[in-house]
Amino acid sequence: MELMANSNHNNNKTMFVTVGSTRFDQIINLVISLPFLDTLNSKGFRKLIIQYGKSVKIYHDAIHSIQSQQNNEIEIVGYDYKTSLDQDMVESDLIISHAGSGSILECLRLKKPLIVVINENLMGNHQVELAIELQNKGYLVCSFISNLLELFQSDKYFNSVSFPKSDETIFIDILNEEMGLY
Amino acid sequence: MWNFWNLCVFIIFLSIIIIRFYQVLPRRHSRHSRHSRSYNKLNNKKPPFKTCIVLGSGGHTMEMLQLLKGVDFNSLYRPRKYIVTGSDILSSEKARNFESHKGNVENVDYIIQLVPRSREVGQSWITTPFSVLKSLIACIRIILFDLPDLVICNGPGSCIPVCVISYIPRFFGIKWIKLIYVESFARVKTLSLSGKLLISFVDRFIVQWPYLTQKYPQAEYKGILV
Repeated sequence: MELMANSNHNNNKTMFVTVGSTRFDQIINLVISLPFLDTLNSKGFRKLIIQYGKSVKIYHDAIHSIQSQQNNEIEIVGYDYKTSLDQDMVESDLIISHAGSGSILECLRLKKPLIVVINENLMGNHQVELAIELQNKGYLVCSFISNLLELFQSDKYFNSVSFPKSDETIFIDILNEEMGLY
Repeated sequence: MWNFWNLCVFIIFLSIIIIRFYQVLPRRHSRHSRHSRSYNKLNNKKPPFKTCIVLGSGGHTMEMLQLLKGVDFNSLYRPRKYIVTGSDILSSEKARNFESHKGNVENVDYIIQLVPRSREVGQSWITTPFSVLKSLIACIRIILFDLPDLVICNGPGSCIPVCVISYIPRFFGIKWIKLIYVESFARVKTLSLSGKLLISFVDRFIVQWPYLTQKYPQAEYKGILV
């Protein structure tokens, strides 16, 4: 235990999982499973916040099934929706998100390490294109359900490029130019 | 004989409409030279510009407010009218928060107007024409009775009736309402349905991924805007 504390200087980390307004049962089932929670524990995470959207039943079933077996000190907090996820995102050290552009953008703006889990049922969807394009630029890491645990264990999600700050002047220039101010 | 003259009149009318419509399409090639006649004649408006902003559910509203963050509301773009689709309380709320952060007062500096949805998810196609008509009428009230100088939209379905109605004063030479369309950040390789429908008709069509400008030459890319 002592050795572990030394290798992870921050031993009180928080993970945030968000599925947006959709249903994404597999991701809820995966993160509330013993192998995943054990990995969280060994990486120094102490808190897991889950925004589970429409996967309400899956969430409660999963929580119920691990309650008897859980032998680590991870605190799990869950809710379906909130007006703003900002607070939870700010507090967390790693975010696992669905491929929705709104969630992705919010995480990137906060410069948080981000793993986007692609829903295989939505392959070919434009949101998947966005996630893959952003991965090619190094802003985030994409994953499937099948390799999420492996990716998380490997720590490979940390070396990402930070997303450029938004430049408000570009749109202002477009507007002013179009209205004949220049 | 009667039929012949009828046909003639009809063809003449149709040609006039087509020619006029062609005239009022945005002239993208002359945009930088700014010597297009119709362009200058209808656009000698001085600020402040009456601005109409179309909001849409979730991601669209978030992106729109991000776009507007640095825009000069006090001296250039006022008053503002936000168009929100009926059931979308969250967008109205976000717009109110956004404006009050900038120190603006509702019904003075800006107003929020609701339009009914053109089509609910899962609505039957038989009743759709009626709901489309209803939202068109709402847009007529909002656009034609008020004639904004500028409409900004970024892709929710409700921006289509707004843009269609905005073309009426342009067609009759009453006012050239500027239409600016910003495609969502989420669109990397394909345009949204609204984007595909509106790309030839809006004055500026901005995308946020460079690949789209190869596919659609009318689109402009200037970087990620949100």
